[in-house]
Amino acid sequence: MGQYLVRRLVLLVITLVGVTFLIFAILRLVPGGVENAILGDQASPADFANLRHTLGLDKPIPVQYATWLSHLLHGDLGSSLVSHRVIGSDIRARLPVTLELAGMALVISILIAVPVGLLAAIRQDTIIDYGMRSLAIAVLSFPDFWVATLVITFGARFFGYAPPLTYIAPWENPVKNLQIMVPPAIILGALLSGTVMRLTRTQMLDVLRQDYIRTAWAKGLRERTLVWRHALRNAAIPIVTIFGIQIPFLFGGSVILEQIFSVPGIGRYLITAVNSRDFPVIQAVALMIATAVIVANLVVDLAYAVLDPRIRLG
Amino acid sequence: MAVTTRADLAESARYDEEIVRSFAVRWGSGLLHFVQHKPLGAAGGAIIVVLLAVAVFANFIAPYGYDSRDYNALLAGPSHAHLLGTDESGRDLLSRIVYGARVSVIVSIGTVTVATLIALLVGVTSGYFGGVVDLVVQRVVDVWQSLPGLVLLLVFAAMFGTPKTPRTILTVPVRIELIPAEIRAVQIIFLLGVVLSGGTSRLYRSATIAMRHNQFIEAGRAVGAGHVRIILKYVLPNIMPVVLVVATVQLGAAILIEAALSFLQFGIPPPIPDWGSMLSGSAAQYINRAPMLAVWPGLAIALAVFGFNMLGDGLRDVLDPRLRGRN
Repeated sequence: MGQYLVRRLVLLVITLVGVTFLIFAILRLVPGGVENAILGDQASPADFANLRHTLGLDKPIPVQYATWLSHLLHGDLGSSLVSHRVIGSDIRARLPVTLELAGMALVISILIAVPVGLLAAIRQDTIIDYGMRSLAIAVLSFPDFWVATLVITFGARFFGYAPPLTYIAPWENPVKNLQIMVPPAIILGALLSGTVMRLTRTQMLDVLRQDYIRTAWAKGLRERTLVWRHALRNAAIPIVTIFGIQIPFLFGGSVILEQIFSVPGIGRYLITAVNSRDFPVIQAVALMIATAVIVANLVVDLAYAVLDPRIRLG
Repeated sequence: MAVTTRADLAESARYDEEIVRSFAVRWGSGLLHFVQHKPLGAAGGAIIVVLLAVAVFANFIAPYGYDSRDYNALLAGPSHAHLLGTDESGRDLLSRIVYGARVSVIVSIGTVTVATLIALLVGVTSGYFGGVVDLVVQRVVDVWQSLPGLVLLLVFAAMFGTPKTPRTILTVPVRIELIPAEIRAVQIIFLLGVVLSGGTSRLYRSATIAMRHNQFIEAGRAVGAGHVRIILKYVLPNIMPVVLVVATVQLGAAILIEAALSFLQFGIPPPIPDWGSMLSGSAAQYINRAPMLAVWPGLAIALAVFGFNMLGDGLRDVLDPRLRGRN
């Protein structure tokens, strides 16, 4: 286990460095130069030169990268071009909000998807199976922004529902916090549950075909014991990897939903920054999201190692 | 002397006819088989055929142009003249949805083509050669996958800005000039294709690894076939089922992401109608007076993606023998 952990952490560091490289490269590849994209064509050459100096773009590229990297390692993410606030503190305020949303959505999607997938697998090729599968595919075909718009539209019309405008942290007032977070979390979770349900079903089908299940069946075990004790345990391992695949989608989905429901998370921060061409913020948020995805993948891999002895011993 | 007589010509024509007919019978019976055994997949396929037909024949199907305004009917409800109503500028919603199909089809097919090509290149080489190449490439793919597609696209949107003027991209051999909407579409196709190819390359890589030690590859090497030939002749045709299934589902995913981008106003600029942007503009503002404006475009997106997913599901069931079920 120790060896696996070390290997995995080395991989983590390599990937993180690679991500900084990627983000750095992307934002330097702006056609016409970063200063052009920020200021537009109308600014004077003096303004351009000024901006270049402020952003440190007049230094050679390796120096820029090294400077940025050393700032990162000290926790300095720079400051916003628009509001001149320190980005680090903004992100520290907003990241937990997004994590709360994503976490709730993940839990909701598991709660919906795993039982349904199990049921569909046990009763394969029956009308329950077909119905559940079609429903799952229908659900994952819906665009999340459409469902969110419909919820707000028809919620306003028939229930007088309006998403609250100010955010309240869960430790201040849990009820109010849930009022804000639950609608987008349910939407995101429900839409994700389609994919998780289908993968659960596939993995369960795989496991149910195995010989040890057939042996247990022949031994005379009840179906319930069979499913819970033998099949589900073994199917749980690939299902955990499914979470790893879902994590980028979680963050992508929360970006839009935060925008629609006015939830102050980093997704909304990103969209505002893109609209105002606030490049330091865009850089920092992209880095944060990528880091969050990578760390979440690490957690998934560790859980995988805990559940499956073959991984940590082989 | 050997002369081609009229009888010879007639006979060869009959042979050709036989060949064509046997192809048709094989393809036709395969299709019939698919419809019978995988009705859900066939239903998805039918939806896609309708989508493609609407996109191709949009000019003939749409009752009005996508930007023609009827000032007598602003935010009108469904009526005889406007089957789905109009938006706040008096543009017929049905026509806009029909033309929007064009954007969705073009962008999704372009994107998946680019994504499949890149993913095959990266995944098959990585899986086939293994070793150091595999290690390095997989680390790059790791990094590539860590950014969600939408986030990366937003970053690119910030960089490129919205094109406003037409641009000429080629003068030889033929002059190609693109209007802003088309420039944007090309940008999205390439960027989204690159973004989507990351995860897909992993799938193609594992498919390649699964068949790396097959007998015919060994045999090919024994005969002296080079790597490229082996890959092209043996590996690629055998992973085609996987590619087919994945590409079908990705078509749906591409439509969703492109619609999300348009919803956030970073997609295809007006006046070209796009289902995503149709959901954001007037739909949000005129919620109370015309709520159905928010329903139809989203329904179109959902239906198209649903069709692709069902078709992909049906194909996967047919091509993956493990999941055939207890019969």
